[in-house]
Amino acid sequence: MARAFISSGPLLEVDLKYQSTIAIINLISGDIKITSTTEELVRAYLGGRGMNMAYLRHYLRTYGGNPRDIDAFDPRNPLIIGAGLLTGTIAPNAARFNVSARSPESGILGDSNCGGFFAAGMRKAGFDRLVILGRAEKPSYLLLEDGKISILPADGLWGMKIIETQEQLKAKHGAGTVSAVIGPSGENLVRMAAIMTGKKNAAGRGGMGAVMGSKNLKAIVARGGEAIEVAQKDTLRALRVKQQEELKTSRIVQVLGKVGTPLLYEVSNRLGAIRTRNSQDNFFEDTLNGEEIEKFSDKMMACTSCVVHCRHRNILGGEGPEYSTIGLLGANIGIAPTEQVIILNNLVNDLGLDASSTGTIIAWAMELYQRGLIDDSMTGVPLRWGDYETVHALIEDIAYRRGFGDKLAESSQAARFFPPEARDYLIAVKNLPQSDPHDVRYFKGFALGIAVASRGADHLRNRPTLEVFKLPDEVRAKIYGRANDPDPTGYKDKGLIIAWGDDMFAVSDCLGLCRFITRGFNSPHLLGYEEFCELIAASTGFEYTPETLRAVGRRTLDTERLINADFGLTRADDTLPKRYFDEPMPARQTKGHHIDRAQFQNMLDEYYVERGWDNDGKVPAKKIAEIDNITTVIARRVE
Amino acid sequence: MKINVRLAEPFWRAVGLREIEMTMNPASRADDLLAALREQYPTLGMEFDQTPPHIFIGDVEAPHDSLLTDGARVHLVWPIAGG
Repeated sequence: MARAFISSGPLLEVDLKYQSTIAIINLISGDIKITSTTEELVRAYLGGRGMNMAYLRHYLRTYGGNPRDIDAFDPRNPLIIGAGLLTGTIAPNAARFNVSARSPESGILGDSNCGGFFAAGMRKAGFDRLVILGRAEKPSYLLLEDGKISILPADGLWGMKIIETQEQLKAKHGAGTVSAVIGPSGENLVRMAAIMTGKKNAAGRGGMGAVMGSKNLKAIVARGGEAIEVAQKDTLRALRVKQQEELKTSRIVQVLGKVGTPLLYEVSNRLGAIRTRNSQDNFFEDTLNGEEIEKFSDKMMACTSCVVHCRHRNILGGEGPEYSTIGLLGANIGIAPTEQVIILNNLVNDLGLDASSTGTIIAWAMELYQRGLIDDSMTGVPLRWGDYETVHALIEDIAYRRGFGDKLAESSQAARFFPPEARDYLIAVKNLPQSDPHDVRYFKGFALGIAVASRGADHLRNRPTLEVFKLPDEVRAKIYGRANDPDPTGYKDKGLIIAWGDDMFAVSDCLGLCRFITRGFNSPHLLGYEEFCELIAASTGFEYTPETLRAVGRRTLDTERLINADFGLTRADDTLPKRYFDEPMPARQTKGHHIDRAQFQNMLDEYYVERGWDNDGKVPAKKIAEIDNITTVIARRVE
Repeated sequence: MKINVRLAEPFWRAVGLREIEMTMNPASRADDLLAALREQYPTLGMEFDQTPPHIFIGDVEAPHDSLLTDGARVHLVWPIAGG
């Protein structure tokens, strides 16, 4: 095995038995520093998303200049890959990790969350977090093995698609090898490129695959190592058994294990809330219902320590599709045949593209063509709704930056090629195309949620799905901490509910847990702060209360807000696509609904109060000082 | 009167049918329809116990005490909206 250079060293400083081992990898010099994150920082951010944010803010500021001057493809942009605090343990659904950097897609905070088996493998190989700096001279990949890191040449791998890359790496490094890889999209700096840890498992949002490509880094491979040590093994095992039994009695867990997320399509479609033809319409064909997808599925798949098993393995050579992909590569571009949508799902995954952004951007282009804002002289071919062959070719052209695909590879930044009014039809917030296929004009909390989500238009940061459950007043009051308006189509109390979701989901991300076992996402039950506290205590010995744990979520949100403030974001950026304000929904139950601009501002006011930010959406000085104080240790440890 | 009932995920799996035609007395309400479905399909009733459905009559979400009319198309949908 040819190794370009091996430069990992011993662990320099150890504070905690269950501490966060971090490797700072400079791809220019080949230097690798392996150190640990201090107990103070672990207690403050736990791991995963929150810890990534602490490091991201540090690295973007560490050069002394304005973070805005560090382009996403600048070698100084850190690519941070961090496992959750519980990831890889036997805690339920503890598979997840976050990838963070300045986003080449949105230009702001980039952060993507991913499942599969990679993160557990990374931890077992000895690393909780990687900070990757610089740019390798030649295409390379990282091998993490038994506490050491090697930077190896990616000869022969560069240019390969996702599945082939993963298979080649497994063949080379043996059974048990797991990898996070980029495909042609990442190599070609497509701004919506993903990092993939399986056939479908994607760190998809914000173009993290393009950041990896800009560093000439094809893959990160992990193998070997021991089971992750925990503080109280027997207690954790007992908790696992208890929580698993409880989770398996949940109807949503049971149904997700059978139908997967495609079950959601029919619900949104019946309501008249499925983004269709770039949100010009709001309902579509029944061919994309869950049972139609199921006809192409031969097995349900799971991630590390999963009790849900929500992912289809399809008989067309891939995994999925999820609800988001069905909506955005189906209804949103007018493609109805089930098989065609599954083929497109497999295609974007194998090319390493984010399905959400790809579907949103192609739909945007189609509407621009429909309106005559662009024509064949730019597109090369007609762009017509439902034209599967053209879409298939266009997706490949995006990945390889050919023809009109080269322009769409810029994602929302492709607006610079189009007439100014083109922006009016872009379904994005903070330049991030909306992640999910739900048209948010009906449920106002959904709208506020994507408007304020720290990485741009994204439902996984705070989606208040409990809004549709019609829960009794006393139950809602207990969940959210005070009485609140039960009308999901009204504007009142949405700030309270979104702030609650922000914090709960942020803590779940810090721990490396899946949304499908997290309270508030599809169920008022499942695991919440109390259960998280038990898992943390058994895994690390750290004692938290629901209040102190929620404070970790708040701190994570504050840190994200500070990162975005460094990029120049203000209250004006917490907004929605023009269409959501100005065009009423056309049909079904949701007909006539849109977002009232004045009421939206009222929601924003309330949200900022709940977050403890000022009326301009700024984090107050006292909180900034607290975060600065906690994170000063990073500089001492990593430099 | 005849009511066409469409069952969404996961309700239809309890009976193995996507659509059911129910015969109801005139002036029946949506609640009466649910009761009739429970009686005819006990496994579906168990699903309703766990998660009471959202009821759509035609294109509109309707309260459980809504009056039904002959030929109405009723869609029973799981109360969920995730991602």
